[in-house]
Amino acid sequence: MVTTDEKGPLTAKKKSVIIRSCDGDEFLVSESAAVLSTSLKKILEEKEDRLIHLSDIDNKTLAMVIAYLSTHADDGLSDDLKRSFDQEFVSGKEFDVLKYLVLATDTLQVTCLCYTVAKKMADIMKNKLVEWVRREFDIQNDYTPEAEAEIRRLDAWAWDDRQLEDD
Amino acid sequence: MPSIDRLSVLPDEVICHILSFLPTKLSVATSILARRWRFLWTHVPNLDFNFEASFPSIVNRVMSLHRVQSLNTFHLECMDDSIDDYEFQTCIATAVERNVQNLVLALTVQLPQCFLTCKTLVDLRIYGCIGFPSSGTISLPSLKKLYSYSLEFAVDLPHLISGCPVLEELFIDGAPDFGCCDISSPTLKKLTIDFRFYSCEFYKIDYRVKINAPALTYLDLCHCSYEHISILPVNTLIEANIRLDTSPSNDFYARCALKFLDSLCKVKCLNYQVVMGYFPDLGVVGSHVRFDNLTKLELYADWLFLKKFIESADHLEVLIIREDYQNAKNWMEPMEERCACLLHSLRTVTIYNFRCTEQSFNMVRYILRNAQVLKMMEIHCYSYDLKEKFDALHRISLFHRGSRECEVALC
Repeated sequence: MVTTDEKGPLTAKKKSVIIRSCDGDEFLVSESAAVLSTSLKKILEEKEDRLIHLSDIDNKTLAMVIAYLSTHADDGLSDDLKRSFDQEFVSGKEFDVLKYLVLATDTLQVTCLCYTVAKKMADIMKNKLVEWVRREFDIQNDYTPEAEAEIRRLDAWAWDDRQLEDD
Repeated sequence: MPSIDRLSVLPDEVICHILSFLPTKLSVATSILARRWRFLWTHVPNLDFNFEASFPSIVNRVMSLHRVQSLNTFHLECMDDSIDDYEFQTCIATAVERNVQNLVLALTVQLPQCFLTCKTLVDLRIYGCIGFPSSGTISLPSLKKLYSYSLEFAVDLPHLISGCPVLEELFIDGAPDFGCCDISSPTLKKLTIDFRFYSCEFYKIDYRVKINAPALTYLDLCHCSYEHISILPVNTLIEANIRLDTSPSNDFYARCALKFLDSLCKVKCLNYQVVMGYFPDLGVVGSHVRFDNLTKLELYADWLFLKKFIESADHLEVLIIREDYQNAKNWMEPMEERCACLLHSLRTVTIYNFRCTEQSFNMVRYILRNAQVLKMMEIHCYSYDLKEKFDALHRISLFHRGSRECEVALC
């Protein structure tokens, strides 16, 4: 049996932490899962408190990130299984959901998931119209028609086929 | 509770991360979205160009606007051969200046001199006909991976490798047009050589490859010829896939093949394929080198090799045999009465393309009788004839089994 000193390295302890979302819900997470997030790891190293409050991440998003972290902390799963979990994880999700996810994983510094989500978002953006992208990213077009025409003229090569074209 | 608006606004770094997965053409196109997006693309760490027509001056315009000082990936693909050399050399020089780490080039060009001393380059992938500068010092101190899918890889390979002190992976898929070549690297871990497009017999290409890579853990050789390739013994080898061409059936060639095989004797997993019409008895030219680390063997070769491995791989656990009509002919029972792997380690045997010949039944009978700890033997018949399969199953089920736990499945 492995005995660990109370002041030993965090990863060696079979402890749990409570993570609270901005909506106030609390999630019980094993420490081995939590430390896969570089930010959470830093917080846990710095303070004794087992309750972490994340003011920027909502319930729904946090639950997804925690599901990801728990899966990846499971030593019983092979790397292949984890990889297929990752693919499954992002497939079929709405662009809006991915947007919250990419932001949360960026904040929490979960590099691997952030990469997978960002890549998925880029894949969705391909072959989409300008208006679609503006809508999904909540972008207000603040160009004057003249300015927009000027950009199109300068980088005409970027619009010479069907991808990301105008309506 | 924060407003949803605040949560949904992505910071510039995150947007750039997303844009880094898009071809540069698309990330430039996002400048039309709004003012904030006007120059966001200039901070994306990757540049990825793919041109079907000629190489346009646009690349250098984009690079002059680009604001990234540490270029992660520079990917350049061009179908047209008529590339403006000056434009190309300028953009490569800029990429080197911007500390490029991963470079992917798919086009026909001559690389500029400055490329040969790129300090930051970690991963280089070449598709097409890339010419290297013929003279000058090569110093690529960070290069770990070199992939060449190049039909005309006009480069002095040993010279190139000697300038890569931390090279770990080398992948050569293309023509063996480099004559004599020493692949010598103390750091190389993974080596793949595939001359698939060139049957050397047919093209009468003469080449010699000598491999001296003492730290190698993974070796994959395809479509080379034993006469032309040699390797110094490697103690660190974990996996080797050796699939070589059909070659002349003579004693000299057989000796080359055996010598080559013996150099791999420390390997843990071996996939070995040698197709020859006739193979001299290994007893004549054979050696007594032992394969002590070998635990998994996949064999598509004359069954003289099967005998050799049963006798010399004392810790073999998994055996996969692929039978073909040529190489099933030379089954001979091992000379030693009791082979260690049969007594202690062999757990699973899988046979593909089982052809129901007397030779194959003899081989199966021998293994079933002598393998004391065998758990599973799976046989995949070549024939779809149900009667033939049923007869085979009936016959095999009557064979004596040295291991009580052994199951036999016929598929």
